[in-house]
Amino acid sequence: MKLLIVDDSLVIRNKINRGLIAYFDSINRAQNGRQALEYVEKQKPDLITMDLTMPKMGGVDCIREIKKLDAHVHILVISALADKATAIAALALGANGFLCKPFSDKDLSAAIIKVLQVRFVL
Amino acid sequence: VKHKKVIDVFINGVNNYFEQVDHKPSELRVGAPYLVKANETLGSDFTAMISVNGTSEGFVFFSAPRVMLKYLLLSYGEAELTEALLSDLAGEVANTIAGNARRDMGDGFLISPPRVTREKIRREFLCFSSRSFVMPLRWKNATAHLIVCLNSEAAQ
Repeated sequence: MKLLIVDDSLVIRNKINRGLIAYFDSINRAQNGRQALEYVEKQKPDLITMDLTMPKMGGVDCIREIKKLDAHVHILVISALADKATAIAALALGANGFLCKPFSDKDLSAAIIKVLQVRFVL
Repeated sequence: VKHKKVIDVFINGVNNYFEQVDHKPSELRVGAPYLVKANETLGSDFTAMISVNGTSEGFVFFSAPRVMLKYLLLSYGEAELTEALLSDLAGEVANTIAGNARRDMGDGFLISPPRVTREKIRREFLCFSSRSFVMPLRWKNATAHLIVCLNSEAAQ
């Protein structure tokens, strides 16, 4: 399985990478929505972790565009935007889960397992 | 009272952040918030600025000394404590605390990605609101500051 991590923070990309390395065959990273789109077109990841507040192209626009390219890719939003409206909007766009920053490794594993369970059930 | 609500939102935000870092209970000590003083100079080794728009307008700053950011990076499991990572982390702390504030401030509280500098905070930003406040944050024998400069209905 291939994972794409999308976050403008290197510290967070590293943290997610370390936390999920055991679950995936390959992990790639993008630091904004534009880079993520290029990667999705070329590499077809199975799962994407997606930040929302990023320069160049934010997560909401990126999810919308990704779903046009690949409607079946699973997306876990990982964001500091802690309000319910944001979580609901992300899920309405096609995200499969929402994890609020700050998060522990345990929170991250639990969230990714939930998303992967949905993937395998479907 | 409403201004107190804004202060409480950000106190909760920093406590929540450091509880996650310290795995509860946090060693963080939040000092008494105070209004920005005339001619006060603020800005430590790394200062991250978030611009706020929407129902509130203004800025949120997280300014921290290098030593505190090094401890934070270690808690993230980083082995290399580079300047680039220290700068990145300052931005991420500001982004997380400001983003979490939307839980109470509402989804009209729009935040920008962080911008990190090593300069003192310019006076025009600190004076953006007459109710700009500073929150000293003591952790690992170092002191950072969260500075909130907002004009909003909630802060009147």
